[in-house]
Amino acid sequence: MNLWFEGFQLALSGANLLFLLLGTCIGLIVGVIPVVGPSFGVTLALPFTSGMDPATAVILLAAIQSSAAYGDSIASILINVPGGPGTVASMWEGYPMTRKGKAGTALGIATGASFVGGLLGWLSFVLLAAPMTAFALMIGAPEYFVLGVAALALISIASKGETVRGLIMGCMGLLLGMMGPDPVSGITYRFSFGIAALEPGIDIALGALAIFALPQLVTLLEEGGTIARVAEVKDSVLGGVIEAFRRPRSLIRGGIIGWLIGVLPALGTSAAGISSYLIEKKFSKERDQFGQGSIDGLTAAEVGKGACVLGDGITSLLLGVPGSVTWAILMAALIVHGIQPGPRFMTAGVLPYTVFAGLLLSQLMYFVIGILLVKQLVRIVHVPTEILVPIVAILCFLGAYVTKNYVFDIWIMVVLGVFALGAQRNGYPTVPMILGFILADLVEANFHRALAIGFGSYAVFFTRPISLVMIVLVFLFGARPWALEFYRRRRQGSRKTTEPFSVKSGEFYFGGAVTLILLIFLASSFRYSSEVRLFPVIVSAAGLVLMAYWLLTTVSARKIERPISEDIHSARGVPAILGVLLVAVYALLVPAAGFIIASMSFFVLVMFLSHSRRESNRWKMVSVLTIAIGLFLLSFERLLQVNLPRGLRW
Amino acid sequence: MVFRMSAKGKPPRLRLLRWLREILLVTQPPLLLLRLRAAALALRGGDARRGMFVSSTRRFFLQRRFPMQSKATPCLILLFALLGSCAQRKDDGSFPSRNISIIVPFKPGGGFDLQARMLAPFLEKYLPNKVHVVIENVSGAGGKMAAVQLGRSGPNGYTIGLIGLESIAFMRATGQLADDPQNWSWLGQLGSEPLLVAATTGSGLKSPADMKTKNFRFGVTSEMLPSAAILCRALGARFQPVHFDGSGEVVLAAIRGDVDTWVFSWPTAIKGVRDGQGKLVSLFVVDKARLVSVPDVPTLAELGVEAGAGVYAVGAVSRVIAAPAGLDANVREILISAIEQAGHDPQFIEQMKHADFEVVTAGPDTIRTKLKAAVEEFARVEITQ
Repeated sequence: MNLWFEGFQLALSGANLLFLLLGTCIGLIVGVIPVVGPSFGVTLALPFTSGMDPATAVILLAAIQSSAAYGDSIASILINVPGGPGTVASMWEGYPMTRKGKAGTALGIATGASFVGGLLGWLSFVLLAAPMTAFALMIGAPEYFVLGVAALALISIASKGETVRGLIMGCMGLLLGMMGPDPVSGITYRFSFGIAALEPGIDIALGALAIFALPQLVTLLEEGGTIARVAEVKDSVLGGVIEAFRRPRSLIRGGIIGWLIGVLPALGTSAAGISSYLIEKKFSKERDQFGQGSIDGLTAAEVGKGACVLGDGITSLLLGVPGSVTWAILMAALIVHGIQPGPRFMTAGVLPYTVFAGLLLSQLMYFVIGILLVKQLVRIVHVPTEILVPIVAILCFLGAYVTKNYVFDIWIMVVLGVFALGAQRNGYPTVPMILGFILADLVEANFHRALAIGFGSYAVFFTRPISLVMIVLVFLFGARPWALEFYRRRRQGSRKTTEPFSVKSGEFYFGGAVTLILLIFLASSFRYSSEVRLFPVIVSAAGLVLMAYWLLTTVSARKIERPISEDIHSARGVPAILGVLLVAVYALLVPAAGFIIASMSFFVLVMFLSHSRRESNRWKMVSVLTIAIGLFLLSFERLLQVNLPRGLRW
Repeated sequence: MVFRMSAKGKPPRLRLLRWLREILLVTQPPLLLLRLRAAALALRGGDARRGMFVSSTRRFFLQRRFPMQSKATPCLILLFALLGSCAQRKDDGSFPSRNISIIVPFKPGGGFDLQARMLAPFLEKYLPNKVHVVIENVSGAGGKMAAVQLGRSGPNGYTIGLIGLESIAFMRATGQLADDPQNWSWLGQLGSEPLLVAATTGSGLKSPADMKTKNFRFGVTSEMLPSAAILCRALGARFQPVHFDGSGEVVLAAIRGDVDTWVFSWPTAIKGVRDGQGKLVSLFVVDKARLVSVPDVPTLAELGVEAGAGVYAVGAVSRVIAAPAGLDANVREILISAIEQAGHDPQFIEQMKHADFEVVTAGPDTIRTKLKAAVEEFARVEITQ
């Protein structure tokens, strides 16, 4: 007991408190930048901690990690651009709230729910450490596989209303996730199509950014105006926090799911946030409001993410297996300071307790600072989109590049983004795509691993008790809705008139593009050995079958109309095609002229094209902003010692 | 125009024709042509209302009035030029005159990353001018992305890489690297850790002889896979790998009983055995003599296994530092000397020891010899998967 006391005392001592504050601020800034999340912030700070006291170092890094994970939500909620991998689900509910002018409330809910998630995670960490580690030890490859398949079923929840097209996009996401080293041997690099930069596959954070950010930015640019559709609305951050606290069921549901996903080393915050959200969608009373600003949904997504961040710590600190990339870095920091994470972690004197104290304090700190700062950040939603969009786009490009220092990542982002834009505009849901993307490795790698563990026999899934139980559960829960539907149909009789609704011609064009992509993947799969091509073949074939099914049912049963006019939206801003072109030009300029020059040119171009009245003052503002952007990027490069692309001349 | 489609109740061939017709009607080539004509008309400047359809893009341009002259435009251009020129770094001729980056082939937090980060401040200490040494993680494809990036960087000494010698040898032997790593400028070594094989108590594997007769599962990571395959070959055992993403996961799987044996560099392996809750036991080390740090683990030779020199060449994880080919001799000397001094700095050795790493330095010639032997061994054995 006194170790706890000592630990807290140490954590609260003068210098450590200062670093706690510093870490929280750094983390918030890093978190707000799209794509870059806690791992980037912690990586940056790591070199600076080498001279520090171990306790101070850990507190600084833990503070950065917690507040960066929280800061990610800010970008997601305010501008609908994923701030980091864990906050994709927060976008879906938080952003509609922002549009209604309730950005402060949304951020308040996010702050409160993240905090509760972190608190729940911390309590479980401290109280349930032993059973949790035992649990983590029992979950092996066969169990992960069954879990992955169950998670794939989440895709159907995610695409309610457009099930067939949702499943097709799920297949696309799975195929994208299968790009890269194959999980069977690690030697074959699949679907690189001869491009060396595609050989490691596509990063999940990059994928999330591309699929959600780019379409959002183009759409915003097209609409013009500001993000908040309503000018002045009663909006309070504290009110939001209280709203989150008033939903204990959502908090606990989401918290437990996020925590469990955190404890399992293979799954990360993206899976946690999305799973909590989707499961909440199934059980919440507000479920029809999901997608339009439901408080339950946002609460669940945030609490899941908050709990997962700490859940990842369990296997990292107590088993020595990093639960996430950020925790791997935290572990490295501990090792450099002479502390060994792993089963012997708790025996290292007072330091583990300082670590725990630091984790709890960092949750408190970002909660307090968050509430104070967030009100100011809400102002962003009143900035005209013509200024906001290019700045956010530049930040997205920055985030896309710094993850792996590869210019090609920017191009991947643009191509995927254009695809996602086409999907969104033509009624193909993109949520299942990101789900498939996240789950691909989990399902495939663990399938092959499980088979290898079982000496090649499929019995391995059924002879292990936990795996068997999970399969039975999945069957029961999965089959239940189908069985119910079947009986309902039998009773009602089969005369169900399908309401004819219109289908745009664009959907067929896009469907054709998807079919082409699926065929390309299917054909490429045959170059690999039979084990390596098993999953890609199954998935692409399934996608093609679903595509054919959709085509047939649509053509035979529905009205088809071509859009009478494309200009249904009030096109005050830059049309989508032009927006896409600008982004593409920017992406091409980066390697040619250097990141800084390209960004500044991009900004000037967008401003050039998006003003609607002649204003001479405007050029002053544009030049000031452009220089500011250039300076920001320069200082980013120098201070953080990142090497931005220099361009061909140098 | 709206069409109601229904093809039910008609004979199959007619249905097919109907479907084809529907698809054509949906895509409506004639309408496309009309649209193109309208767009062409609009572009030529015809009245927006007379054309059947004006694209949103064209209307957008029609509505805008661009200021053709603006006082700020030349100022902007000037500023761009100024900014561009001052961002270019001045090179006063002595090396190094700006930051040096160390490319690390794996994500942050791993062994390579740790060692690079520990080395960085000491390298800064022993380099002539005051510059920063920055870590650049280029992960992917088991280290290949880093190797490729290193090969592509300019040979100016500002980009070096901390890489695994055996992984590079394997990539070269299997044709994954276009340029020959023998031509790279080898600068030094941080450590060379022989591999240690461990097994679970539940597997019944107690010696190499057991491995020859029993059916067992070998837990590997993509880094260890080639060496593990060669080891099995030398032991005469059947290689049945189970692939995992990292050493921690392999150890967990072993504790769970999902794999029977695994191999890692000895520091990682010993850590795994220690954390194994008593379920793991070290079998042997792949070295000619027993290791000082783990004296109670026998060697392959002691247990009666005749392994060729090639097996020993690939039976270690050597963390070496390299620069692209064609490095200036002066620059190379500066780097080699700084790395050598850092490697002998007692503080550095102490820090590495804290993290369970042993510093073993080596010169460029030794590295080249090892590389050659490893490439030859990997080329001999075909890793089929």
